Amino acid sequence: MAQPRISRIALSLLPPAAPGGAGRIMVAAEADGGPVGWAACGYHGDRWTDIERLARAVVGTVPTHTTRRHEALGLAGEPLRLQKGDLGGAGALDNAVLDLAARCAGVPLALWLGGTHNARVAVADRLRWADAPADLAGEARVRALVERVETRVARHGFATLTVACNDADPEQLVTLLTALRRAFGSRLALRLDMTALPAAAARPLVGPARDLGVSALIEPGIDVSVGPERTLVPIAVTACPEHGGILRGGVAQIMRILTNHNGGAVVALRLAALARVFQSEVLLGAGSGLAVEAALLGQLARATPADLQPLDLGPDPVVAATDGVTIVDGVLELPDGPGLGIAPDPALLARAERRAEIAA
Amino acid sequence: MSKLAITGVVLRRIRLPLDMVYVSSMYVMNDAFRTVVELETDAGLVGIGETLGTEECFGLAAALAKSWLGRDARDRLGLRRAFGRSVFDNRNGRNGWSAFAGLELAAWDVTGKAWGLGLAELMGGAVRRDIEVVCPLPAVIVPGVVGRAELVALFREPKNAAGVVEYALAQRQRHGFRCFKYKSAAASAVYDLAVMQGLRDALGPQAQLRFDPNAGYGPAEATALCQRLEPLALEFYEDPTDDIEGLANLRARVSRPVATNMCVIQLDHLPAAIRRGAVDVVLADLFMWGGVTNYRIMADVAESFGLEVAIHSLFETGIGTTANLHLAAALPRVQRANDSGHHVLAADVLADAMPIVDGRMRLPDKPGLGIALDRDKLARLTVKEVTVRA
Repeated sequence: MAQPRISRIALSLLPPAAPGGAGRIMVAAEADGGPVGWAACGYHGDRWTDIERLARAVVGTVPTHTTRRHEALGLAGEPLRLQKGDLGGAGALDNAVLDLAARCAGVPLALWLGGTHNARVAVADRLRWADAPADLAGEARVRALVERVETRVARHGFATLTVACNDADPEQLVTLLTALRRAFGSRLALRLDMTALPAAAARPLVGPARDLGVSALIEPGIDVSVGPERTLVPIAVTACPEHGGILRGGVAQIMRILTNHNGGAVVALRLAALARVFQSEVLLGAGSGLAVEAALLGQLARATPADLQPLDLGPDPVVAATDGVTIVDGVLELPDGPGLGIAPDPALLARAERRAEIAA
Repeated sequence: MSKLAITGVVLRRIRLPLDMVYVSSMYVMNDAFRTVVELETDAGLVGIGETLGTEECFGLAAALAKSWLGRDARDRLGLRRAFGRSVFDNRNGRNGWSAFAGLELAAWDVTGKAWGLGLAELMGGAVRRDIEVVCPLPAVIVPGVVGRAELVALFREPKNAAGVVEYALAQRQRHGFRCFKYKSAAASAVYDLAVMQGLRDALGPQAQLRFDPNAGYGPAEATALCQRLEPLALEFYEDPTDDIEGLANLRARVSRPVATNMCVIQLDHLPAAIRRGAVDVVLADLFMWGGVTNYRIMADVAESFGLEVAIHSLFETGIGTTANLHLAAALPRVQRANDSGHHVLAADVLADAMPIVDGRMRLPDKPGLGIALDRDKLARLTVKEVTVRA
């Protein structure tokens, strides 16, 4: 059976979504004279050079040969043992090829990945302390943040909000959570993203989080995850080499999987299989804030045979859900065309600050 | 986007005659029943599947087929979710999953045909195309089906142990097998030891030998027997005793690997087996595990927790045998030979033969499973037929 081969991989470095933010990488995988598959990831670390290097092993191969490609990309083998660092470059490259494979078959990516386990994929909104005007402080700032959430919930129907802890002190966060609970009652599930929060700052938040009905603590750190506080609120831990022990020991009830960082959509499905068998929920997340990645996350979520937490689409889910991807009643609506069903806006690609091309 | 809508399902319960009398601790039989599935679609493509052929499984498959009419055959995950999102949803235990497996295999086959890809390619690509297979050895060579009481007397005769060894040598001569599975009747540990010692002496140290009494021995007797088999360096002990607890206790007392196709056969069995350290090898039967999707999930979990996966068989037609070849081709974790009883079938339903050359079978390279049915053969073997259409 003759299958098309990947003739070209193109990379574009896009400017940050907001001043001071990180750039984004758009990956395009093209078949001989045929369709183009797309993927996006954040620009940090060695991702650009990783993708350039790995792309040389991918061009000339057949998009459907996932297992052999994974050997070349370092994504083969035990899905947990792979998780030793950032697999974002390999993950983005693999995601672009998966989109290409689905487009070659003429079916949406979810169907290419096996079908639709989750017909309805909910999305969480995201809130940072910095999301209010810089000149506001104290109660005024909290009020502005709550109003922001009210506006977005009214417009997009979010039923879950992830509150990012990284730029607020614990006291401010408790005040904010209290105000949110007061404003929304039980209509809005609250998650607390504690990524990179020091243990000393994380631990005092757990009790108030429980009292305020927070539904998940995301990455509260090892001290909280294995300490006495762990029983208070469900914990989400990003897939890591130690996850076998986490699953066996029931330490966390949610496995967070980042579509690029953890190695792309196929590795994500393999990780989700572990989560499902050990009765852990899955929280899928993205980081670039681009529609291409939001579409990938939505397609992947449909095909994930596990109980899903509402998706984290990145810094601003409303911005990520553009160009054919929308959020209606808190649910991600996806186009039904082949692959991701969308392609990046040419005007966006024209703004690329750097480009590279690897041809067969 | 057009669907590959299911317009009809034809189920045939078939009786497969065997070239041997298969004697184990569970069966004395010279035939096997299977269910053959044909999934018709609005595109004119037909998917072929197979599963167990018990009356229960056949009936459940027919009932399930009705709920598949009009569904997209490519949406295997949607069909699986509709069947059983939770453990409780599937109300028929492993029979339910077996029924699902037959229909699901046909869905994979027709999807592959629609996309021009083999099943192994749909699963990520073949990493091998020549698949080593195992030769099953009956507990005793008998000319016809006999009752259990009569059978017991045969295990007192040392010459019968020698008969099993002679059969193994003849099969090796004919097909080039390097791997053999002895089906113990669990009637006599002394007899079993004699057979295994005879096999090792006759087949040499390179032959892979599996010992499978189908959990017929109690935990203490099984442990003592396996300990006495240790010097023979068997490939593994397959279900030497029953249940996760029994296997875990035995495994702690032997050095060779322990395998199961009876005690860990559903996804919800895996955590307990992993926590308890019950087995080294999940010898998984596609049709007990509930189909290709469940099989892949099982393989991912097994791999992540250091368990091996090997492929079990119980006298499938060429359809199921080919499906097992695709699994072995597509799952890098599968390193051991596939169980297969195909060469002892006296008849099959496929148009093409499936030769074993140098102990290996060849993966087809056409779309889907890559096989075609022989209508005349199928008709001759069919004992019951159900057609489900709108």
